[in-house]
Amino acid sequence: MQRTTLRTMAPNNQQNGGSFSQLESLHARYVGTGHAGTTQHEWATNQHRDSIACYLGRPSMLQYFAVAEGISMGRVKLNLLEKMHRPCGEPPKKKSLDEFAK
Amino acid sequence: MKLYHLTAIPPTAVNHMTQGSFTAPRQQELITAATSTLHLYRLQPKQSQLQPLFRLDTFCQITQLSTFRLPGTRRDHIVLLTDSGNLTVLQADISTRTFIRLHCEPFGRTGIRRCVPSLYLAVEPRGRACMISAVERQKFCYVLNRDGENRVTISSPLSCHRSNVVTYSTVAIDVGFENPMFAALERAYSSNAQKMLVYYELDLGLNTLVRKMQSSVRDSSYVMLMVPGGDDGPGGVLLCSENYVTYRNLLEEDDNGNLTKLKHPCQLETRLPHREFMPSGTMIVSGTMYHDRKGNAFFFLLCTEHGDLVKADLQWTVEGGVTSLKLAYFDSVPMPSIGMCIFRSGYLFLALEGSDSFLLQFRTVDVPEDSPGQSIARIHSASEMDVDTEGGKSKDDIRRTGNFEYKRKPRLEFLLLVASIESLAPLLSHSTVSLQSGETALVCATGRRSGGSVRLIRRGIGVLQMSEPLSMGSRIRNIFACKKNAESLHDSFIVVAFDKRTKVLAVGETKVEETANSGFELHQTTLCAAQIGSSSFVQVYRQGVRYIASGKVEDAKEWKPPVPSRITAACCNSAQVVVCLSSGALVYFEVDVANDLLLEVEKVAGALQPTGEHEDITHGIAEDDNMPVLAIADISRGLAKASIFAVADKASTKVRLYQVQANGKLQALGLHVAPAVVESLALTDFGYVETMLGSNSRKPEAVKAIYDPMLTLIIGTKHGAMVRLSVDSVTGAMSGKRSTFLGPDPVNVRVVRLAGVPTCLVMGSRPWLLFRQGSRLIMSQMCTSAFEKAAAFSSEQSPDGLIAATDSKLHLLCIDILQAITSSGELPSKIPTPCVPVPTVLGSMFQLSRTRTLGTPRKLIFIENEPVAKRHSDLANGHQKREKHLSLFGVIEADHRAKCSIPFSKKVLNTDLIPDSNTGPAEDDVGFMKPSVPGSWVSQMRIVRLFEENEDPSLDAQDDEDDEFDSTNLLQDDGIQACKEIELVRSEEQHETVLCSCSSKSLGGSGTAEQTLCYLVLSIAKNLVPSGTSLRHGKVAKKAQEPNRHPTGALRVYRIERKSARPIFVHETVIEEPSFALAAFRDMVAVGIGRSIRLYDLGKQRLLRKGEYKYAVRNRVTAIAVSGGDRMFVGDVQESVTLFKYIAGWETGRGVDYGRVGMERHGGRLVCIANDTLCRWVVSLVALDYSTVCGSDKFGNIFVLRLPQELASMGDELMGVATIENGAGIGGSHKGAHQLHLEACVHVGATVISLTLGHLNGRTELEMGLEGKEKSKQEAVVYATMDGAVGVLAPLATWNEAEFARLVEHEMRRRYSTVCGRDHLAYRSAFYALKNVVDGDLCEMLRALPHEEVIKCCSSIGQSVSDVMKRIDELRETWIG
Repeated sequence: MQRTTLRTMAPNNQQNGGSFSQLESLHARYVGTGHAGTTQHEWATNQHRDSIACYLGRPSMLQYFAVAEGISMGRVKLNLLEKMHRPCGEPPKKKSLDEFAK
Repeated sequence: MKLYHLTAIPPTAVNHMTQGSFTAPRQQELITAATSTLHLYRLQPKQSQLQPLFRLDTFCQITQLSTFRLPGTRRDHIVLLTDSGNLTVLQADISTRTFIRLHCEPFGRTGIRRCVPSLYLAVEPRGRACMISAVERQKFCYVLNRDGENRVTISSPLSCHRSNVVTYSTVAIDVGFENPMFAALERAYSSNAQKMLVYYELDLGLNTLVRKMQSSVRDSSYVMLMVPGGDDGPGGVLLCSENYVTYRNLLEEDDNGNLTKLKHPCQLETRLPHREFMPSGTMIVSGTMYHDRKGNAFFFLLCTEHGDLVKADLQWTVEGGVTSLKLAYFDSVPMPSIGMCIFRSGYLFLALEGSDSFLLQFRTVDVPEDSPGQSIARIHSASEMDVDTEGGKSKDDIRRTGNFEYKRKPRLEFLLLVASIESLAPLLSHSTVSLQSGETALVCATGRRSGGSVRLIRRGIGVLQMSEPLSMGSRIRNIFACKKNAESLHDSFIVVAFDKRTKVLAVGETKVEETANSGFELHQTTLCAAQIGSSSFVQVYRQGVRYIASGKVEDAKEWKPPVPSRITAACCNSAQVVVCLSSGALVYFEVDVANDLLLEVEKVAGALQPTGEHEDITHGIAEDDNMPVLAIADISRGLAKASIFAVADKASTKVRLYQVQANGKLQALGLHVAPAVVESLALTDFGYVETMLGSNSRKPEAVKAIYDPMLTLIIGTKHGAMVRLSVDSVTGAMSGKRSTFLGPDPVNVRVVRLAGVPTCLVMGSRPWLLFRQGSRLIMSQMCTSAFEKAAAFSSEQSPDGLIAATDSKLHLLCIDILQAITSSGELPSKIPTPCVPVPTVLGSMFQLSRTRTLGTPRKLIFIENEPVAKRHSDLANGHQKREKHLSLFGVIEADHRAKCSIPFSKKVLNTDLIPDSNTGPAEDDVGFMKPSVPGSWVSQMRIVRLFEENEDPSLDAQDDEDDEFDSTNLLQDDGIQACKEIELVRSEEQHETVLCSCSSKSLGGSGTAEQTLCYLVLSIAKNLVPSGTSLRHGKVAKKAQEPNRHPTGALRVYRIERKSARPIFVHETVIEEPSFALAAFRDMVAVGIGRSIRLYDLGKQRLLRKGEYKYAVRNRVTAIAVSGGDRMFVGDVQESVTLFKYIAGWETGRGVDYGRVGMERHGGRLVCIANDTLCRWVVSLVALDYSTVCGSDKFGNIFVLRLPQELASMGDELMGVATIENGAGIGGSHKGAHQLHLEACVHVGATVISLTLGHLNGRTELEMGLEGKEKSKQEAVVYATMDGAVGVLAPLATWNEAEFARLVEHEMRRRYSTVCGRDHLAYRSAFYALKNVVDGDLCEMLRALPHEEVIKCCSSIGQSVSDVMKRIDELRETWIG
């Protein structure tokens, strides 16, 4: 649900070496902040993980899913936790330069 | 628009729980947490009761709850994790009845986020440290300690983060007094990562938290439980995964997870006993460990996801470590548990999801060896491990004995149900209904699966009728109950006064009999009778005052008034009597205890106007009009007499207070002029509580106490008003006037002491009870029929009962709510007792009745509500022809992943959720609906009829003969009964489910002769598989979706015959997608199908499509609210609300082509007018007025959207703009030309599923008076949440009111700090900014502030404290009561 975006800190000012390292540390600190190289899959995965974390802390949401699915809340919670791993499936394979050449 | 938010029923779900001794050492107490509320209960083991002590609204989302006890102390502290981003340490304080904050340590941002460590909490068993962790990355550890003054200290956090790791669960490890250790189940994000059990060690010397060791575990591992360690046990954890339970102890394991202490290292793992006919893969969802430190024994109780309890036992030796792990099927409960607590007195508290919580008692914890459902992993000392499970080595042996599989027990075997705590969660749908008497009540669909029920809830206090009414022959004028002597517990005489005589009933062991030789004068009417002094009685009648010394008939003495005057009124307490003479004189008596005499102490002549002396002889009753009334207060502790009494002269409406001075002289004090002729008076100190010590001995001298005096004068007038004033006991000054109108009948007030607590019965058109709760007086209706006179009556059967008189009948009543306090025996007298009635789980609401449903009741559809005249064959016999009020509701029950083998509706349900094992063979209704594969549904629609209480018992008998209704269903005279069900799903059609429904009286053309018909349209989904939270499941479902398994929908039309309430199938229409929203729209039905809205009209063979607006919303229509007959608010699953207008009549000449997106019926079409600018995940909508809609979203927000005022006056121009926009293209067609304006928005904490309009104050329009008549037309939004809370968003009608509420809230935000340090404004704006809603719950916390703060707060508002309190109370009384 709630996204943290450090738009102002996109790594496009690479000439400024000092702020770049600072930026990297910020990126490491705030999970899920995007940058110019963020792929669609990464972005969506982060979105889903954020949503799942939001659901996990709200029992009423778990209950909501549990009613819809007809399973217990504990199972819903486990399902969501398992989904944290790959909410959007495996990442697409990176095409190597050779493949591009072809 | 300004709204005022109030909670009527606080969240009743139990999400987290913990046990300990919080208020006092050695008490067994339980804290449960719902969304934002903490409840504290105390277990009364002798009474087998869970007594609610107090609750606190924390104004934040509680995410985790635990306790710790510092070494060497005897009380537990509470640790709370919330979305405030703080770790809060609380202490429960019984004297102030609240939780006190000790520490509030910030650890991260607010809100529930991925990397904010507020999801898991593990507290070290010795109370030395706690670890908190987030779902990803973050882990913090705090060291808990105490300083020299025994205060709890908390260290700064120590971190041990690890990026790209998901935490599944954390638990503390018992290592005795070595460095604290914690275990966590983790999994890294890398693609081939395994799930790991990781040990963290907190090095107290180095003050660091380190990741000590890790080992891989089964992929499905989820629940971990701590195993006692140190000297008490082997340490380590019990790890539950799908089908398996494993004992792990990384400290004593090698790299392969084999226990090294054993001769032949191996893993100790046991397969979960298997329930027969169950799909494989059973998960443990919760568990608890019980550790008896004295006996040095422990065991585990686990709950599977199907609601089976499994007991786990570990055997261990100090040298060899764990030798065996045994699992045994224990018992079955209706639903899987959320959590459980085992108390040392042998009780188990079990919170179930979608059901009530239960308190159960262990009959035994030893499961016999031969009982089914057992599996053991045992290490024989000599040879290697022998695993007695199906998957183990000796699998064949086990299969042969059949011990591994078990059948679900139909009833409890090792447990005994002793008490249940109501829970409304999840409250999936509700509706307000008006009862016959004009009050409103709430019908709620609550619970899930086996715990599902439909409940009728109303404002008020429950009253139980203890016995059959006792007929006395003639009209009762008054009743009094007398004890034998001052020390006795129960009443022994009932004095019943008739017009010209008196009857005395002696209360025997088994029955109540009339007695003649009690010493009372029986040939006169009694004005007042009581037990007085130590063991004497006093009776006041017209011609005298009789004093029966020591209860001996021969010792009766009489005081005669001077001729010709007579006594017109009297009152007394346990030592004083005041009578009023017809000459207008007041005579004051006192009991001389030493000589056992009643002495006339003082006479004040001419205090009142003389009344006609002869009148009572000629017209007995008429003189009643001029009679004065008297009331005297009770005698406080340590005093010999009460100092104040009140006299009212009926003719002049004046109420005067008199003071009894030390020498017995009377002095007139203040005067109050009542609004009308005074009917009755009562004077009592609501702070004066008699506490019971021990279970059954009431020692008055030791236990009477006044806490916070609250002397109050209550005046009931002839014209139905009740006025109450607080009285200064010294000066007699009266202040704080509150008046309430109670209907047209004269109001009788009477002080009754219930369980030693003073309350005042107010008997007007309906009976009310006035009692103290905290520092305010609360008036609540009693859910019973009206009575004229009543007195407190204590007997062995009902120690705190009432005896009430209606006309010539006596009723023995008992108040439901008080039962909690009557048994609160063991409160030490030095602790101020709760001024009760204790708030129950349902707050001020009372559950009238409850009907169990078979599955999850998902939606409640109001069908019709109109009085149906009952036909009576023998009117000649004098039976009154009465109208019986019927409300018909449709209840949709649907359960996914369920199957049932026998027809659904044939099943007769037990009324009890957990069948009592002592009564005959209980049916297996729990096992009746069995878990099944995804895509399998059990679903039906049930028609439920609301019954009303019928005062004439002869009518009920007739009802039974009435073949129109199922006679068996009329056994209950009040409440809800199912009368007819539409069975939809049979065993062969498991892929169908009912989604929603609507009823329409004008479907297929209005104004026809079929006025008595009502149509019900059901939306059926076929082959629907909810998308699911599980990834694996999603893949399976996709695979299973062959072309013919594509989800489709159907609309089934039923005709409801009004007389029989039987649904008759008319026809079915197939639609291409399941419809989640239906609404009756004009004489058609509006159906949301996928993205489009379609209008259907009733045809002969099927529904006729009258037009369609394609792509009305972006994703999927979830709700439709119709306003004013031509507007439709359509909610999208994500994209908020769009407003459509229906324009009848085909317009030509505009040059706009509507053909593609418009729709027509008799030449009409729909146009999109406006939409919202933000994303809202709409769940339900309700139209407030023509251009306003109130909606709720998935995340617990309620919002009000309105079409801007300036657009409302625009007619065709508005539409013109809109339609041109529409014509622009299909893709953009959901964009209206205008924007809906956000009027109000608030976050209420939990998903709001259902919204209706109405109020809950339980008053009739008549009672609300003239001013109220307008008010009653104003309706509030009543919402119900997933966690079983009900609240109200009430309009603040005037600027003055709104400004006042805003000011109070503003002051409260500044002065009241919420217990977890959550900023109130931030909490109410958790998802969207709070707008135009004042939180009444926060305003009411004004009472929780210290007095100086209250004064400061009120002075900055600019009003007096009492005025502010009064206005806040009035707001609650208006909407909730």
